[in-house]
Amino acid sequence: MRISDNLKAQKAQLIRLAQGVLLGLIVFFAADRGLDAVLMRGLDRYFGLETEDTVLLVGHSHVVLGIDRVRLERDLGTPVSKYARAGAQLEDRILMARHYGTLHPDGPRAIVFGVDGHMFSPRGLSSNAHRLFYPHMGDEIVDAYLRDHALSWQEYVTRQVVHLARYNDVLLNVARRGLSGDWSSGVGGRFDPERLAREAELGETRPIAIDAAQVAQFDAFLAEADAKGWPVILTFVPTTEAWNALEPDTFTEVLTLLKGFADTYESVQFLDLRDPWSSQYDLFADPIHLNAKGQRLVTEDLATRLAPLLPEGQ
Amino acid sequence: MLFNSWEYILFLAVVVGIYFTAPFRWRVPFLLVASYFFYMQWSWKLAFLIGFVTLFNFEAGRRIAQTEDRFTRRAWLWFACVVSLGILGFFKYFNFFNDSFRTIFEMANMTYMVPHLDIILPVGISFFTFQALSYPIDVYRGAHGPERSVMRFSTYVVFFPQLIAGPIERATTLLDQFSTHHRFDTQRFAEGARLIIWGLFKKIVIADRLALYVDDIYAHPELHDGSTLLLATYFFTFQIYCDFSAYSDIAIGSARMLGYDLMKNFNLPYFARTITDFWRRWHISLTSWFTSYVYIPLGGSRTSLPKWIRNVWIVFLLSGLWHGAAWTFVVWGGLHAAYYMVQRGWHAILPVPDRPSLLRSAFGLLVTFHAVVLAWVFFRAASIEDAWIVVTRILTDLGGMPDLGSSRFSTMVNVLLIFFLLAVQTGQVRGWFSFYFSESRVPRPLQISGHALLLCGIALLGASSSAFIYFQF
Repeated sequence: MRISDNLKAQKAQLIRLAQGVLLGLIVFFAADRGLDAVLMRGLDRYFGLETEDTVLLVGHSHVVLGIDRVRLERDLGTPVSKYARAGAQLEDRILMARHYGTLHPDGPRAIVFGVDGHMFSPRGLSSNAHRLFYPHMGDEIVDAYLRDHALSWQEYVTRQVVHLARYNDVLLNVARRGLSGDWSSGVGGRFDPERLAREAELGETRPIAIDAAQVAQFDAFLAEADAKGWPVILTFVPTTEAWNALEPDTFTEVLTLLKGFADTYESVQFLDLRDPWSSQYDLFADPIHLNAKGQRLVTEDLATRLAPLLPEGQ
Repeated sequence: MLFNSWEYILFLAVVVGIYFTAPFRWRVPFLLVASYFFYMQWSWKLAFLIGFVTLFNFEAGRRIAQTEDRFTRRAWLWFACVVSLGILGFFKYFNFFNDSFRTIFEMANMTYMVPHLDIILPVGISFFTFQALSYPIDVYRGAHGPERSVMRFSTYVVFFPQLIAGPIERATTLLDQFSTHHRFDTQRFAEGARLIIWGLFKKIVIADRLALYVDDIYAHPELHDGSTLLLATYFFTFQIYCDFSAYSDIAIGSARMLGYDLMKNFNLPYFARTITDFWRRWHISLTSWFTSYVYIPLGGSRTSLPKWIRNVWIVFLLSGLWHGAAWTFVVWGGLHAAYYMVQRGWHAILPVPDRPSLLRSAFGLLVTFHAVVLAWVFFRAASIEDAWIVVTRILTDLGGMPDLGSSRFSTMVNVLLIFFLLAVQTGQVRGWFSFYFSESRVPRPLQISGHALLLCGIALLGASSSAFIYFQF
């Protein structure tokens, strides 16, 4: 009798434990999925991924800090999506353009693709750039990319199961800004040429390399865009003249490659914004990033020079 | 194998599963094997060191209990202390004292021949040495009888939840628990799991995030102004609390799942209103060890004023050195000793009433908190020079807004997390709920939901896992 009472009590305890675990799981996954949905909405709004027939700005920190989306939209009089992330390498930027294409099969009105002297040299940028794409891992093309780039299977699987693990502070902040409609991106500060000279002397600047595989990858993307009829405007957001002059030969080689792409593909154009801004050092926060004042002037310039290149809206 | 890793969660689940399904006579041997396996994840070679310390103290306890002869008993006790502390001293302090002597000799233009040795500091050595040593002392004092089973004693010394960073247990509280037949108890299992979740939240979400800012600022304090250094120091104050108390929580929670009770190591220390009160709440197991085995044998507070002053200084300087072989830790201990002196003088002028007013309590809390914050500067800084820069800049260059670091958003989230911690702790102070197994006013479904949300917080805001600060001690 006593043994059976004991067993009953243990069974009741186990049921109570199971109920607690079940309740915990329900609350956990409800909060996980609910909050993820809210944050995703913020991200998509911020990057303009919900917008149809848009001028799609794609790039890394040069575009993030260099172009004011709101001003450009106002000056062009057409919707602009700024799908740019600091630390995004060339492969990431191509993925961003393709990702937008999967969301909107008709494609963007035009892709303003941020280019620079270092775009074919992967060294020096974050090896964790892929993590910025985790919130969109539900998308087939992003998922395939993440499977290739995840640092471990645990990293990938954890994010498949727990959606909130897909975010980091950068993405959370972007989502917050998307939800609150805050698209400001200017920074203060002023470029110090002497500091750059010292760093160059010490060999602390990032060297330019032209990686054949990256060039081929970019070529393939441009061919794909051309075939789909997506106009691509390769846009050189200004970096300082001092920076551009660190390795003049390789830098010129990159520019030649970019011009070559524009000559090869009918839908590709090259828009070089360096002149007259690259020599005006008071417009830069550091050797490669425009400050708030530079952002305003370059965005106005971009709007003026971009408008005639854009196809008519649908 | 860090507590804040999937490997540990899996390890704990396997250990709990096997422990409760194994026959009773195999449980303690199994815990012993599991504990050694846990330690060997850091270094299998150093496991022999723990084995030696364990067997030596076991034998010393046996010899002390075996004889009535006072001289022999005392000789064995001293032998145990010298060998155990000698091992600790060699691994932890040899280079510290050696380098200090070299500096003194060089200053006097004298040749110093003893070389610097490349000694690996065994993880957790300060903890397991103190825990093992408490046994022969307790046997000598008659506080605990001799343990007959070397298996049980070995498991007591290496019990994996508290092996690396405490709480430092005593034979009187933990050893006998290895003779008890523990049944699987869902209530204790759930309580343990909840405490582990809270510990993980404090470690991964609060401590590790704050560490990113603090490490950056303290790496080069000379580059920052007073307000930035003050913010970094406030952050470190909460980082070290969350880091260390998280370890203790996960240790206590893990042990509780297995049916064992470990002592509470922290009791809301930043709510202390005096320095004495702070040390009753901070690293309670270490304070209690020093009180029992150093302070009271020296005469404690029931002695003349000069001797009391001596006793306090000895305990705090030793406590500082226990934390690390560096002069910064000695200064940290010395500051706390000085605080005790000031507090005694202050209370002599203005005695503490039985029921202090709200104003006096708030004042005491603020003063105590900031005294502790000031001492943390020395605990965290890489050198005395760095600490001095931090202190002087905080005192003289506090004008501007602090540098919020590379991500203003992250820093603001960190500030909000500190407020969240304080709000939770205020709830604990008020008795609304408890993480430590006492009755809670919050209904069970709400408690479960709260912990599920803490897990969401870990997923969303957790920083990359890094080792616990106290592992280095």
